Amino acid sequence: MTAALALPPHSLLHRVRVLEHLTGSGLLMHAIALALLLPNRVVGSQELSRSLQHFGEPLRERCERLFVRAPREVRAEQIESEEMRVRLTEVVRAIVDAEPGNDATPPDSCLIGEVALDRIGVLLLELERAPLGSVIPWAISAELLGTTIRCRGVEYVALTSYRTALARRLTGLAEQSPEIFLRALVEGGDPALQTQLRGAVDALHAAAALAA
Amino acid sequence: MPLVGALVLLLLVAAVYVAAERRRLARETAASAIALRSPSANWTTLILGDTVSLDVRERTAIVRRLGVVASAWAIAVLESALADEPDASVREAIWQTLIIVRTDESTFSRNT
Repeated sequence: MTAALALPPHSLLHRVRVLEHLTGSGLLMHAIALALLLPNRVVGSQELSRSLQHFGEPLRERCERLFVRAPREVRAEQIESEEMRVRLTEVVRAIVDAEPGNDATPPDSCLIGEVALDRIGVLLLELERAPLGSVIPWAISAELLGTTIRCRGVEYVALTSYRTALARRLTGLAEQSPEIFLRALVEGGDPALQTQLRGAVDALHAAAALAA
Repeated sequence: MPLVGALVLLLLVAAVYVAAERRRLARETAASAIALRSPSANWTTLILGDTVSLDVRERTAIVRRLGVVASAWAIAVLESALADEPDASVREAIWQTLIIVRTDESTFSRNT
């Protein structure tokens, strides 16, 4: 299955602008990046695309609020609501159960990638018993993240290593309590992960310059 | 004797006056101190719902980040902030940010 975030020029520019202003050392900057770059299309399925948007839009606003406020601590209800959990569970279940799509054309300008349904399936089982504020929704978002930027016929395979490293880091927290994850959002740091995020933002910046 | 009585009365009135002035000054000083920490800038609670007191520098940084986000909710917060923000320098930052986001054509359809 292929998922994509359509990136018309104004939308790409806006995302790059926020991503370039991300600061801090905890995982919050990566959570915000995930919310901004979460796919809003499943290639070949309008219904799944709508479900993804239904989940992604409130997630993005929540993360924008966290970006603006830059809190010293994050509470579970600030990153996830019961309604968002229901929407995510529905969309992930639908993705796992979906029949292979037709050969629909992805958007011209987009961040696109293949979704590993086996890993999403495992995470879905964990999602169904994870408390609110858990890392699991973020691990799922990392698995959905696109890996290739397409813009005006140019492709930047720029986010593969970032997606892999981020998914590994988040999945590594799955056995911990939500409190540990909430602390990791604002404390500690992972310089290697930050460097990979900077690389991804540089590639998005290059694409934005090309699109402008 | 009447002169001494008048003097005592005058001293009493003066003491009452001075005490009242001290109380008034203390109230004003306390109000100013609160205003410096969080001069009734309730607009920041619109972002995450927390009521942490923020100084002028922190509020200015928030205004800048609202301008970076420039989504509909962020613009609504900036508009509320303009009516609520007591510090002139932060108000100026809000004005400038609102002008920029309102004239930035990419603002209008960025939720695509």
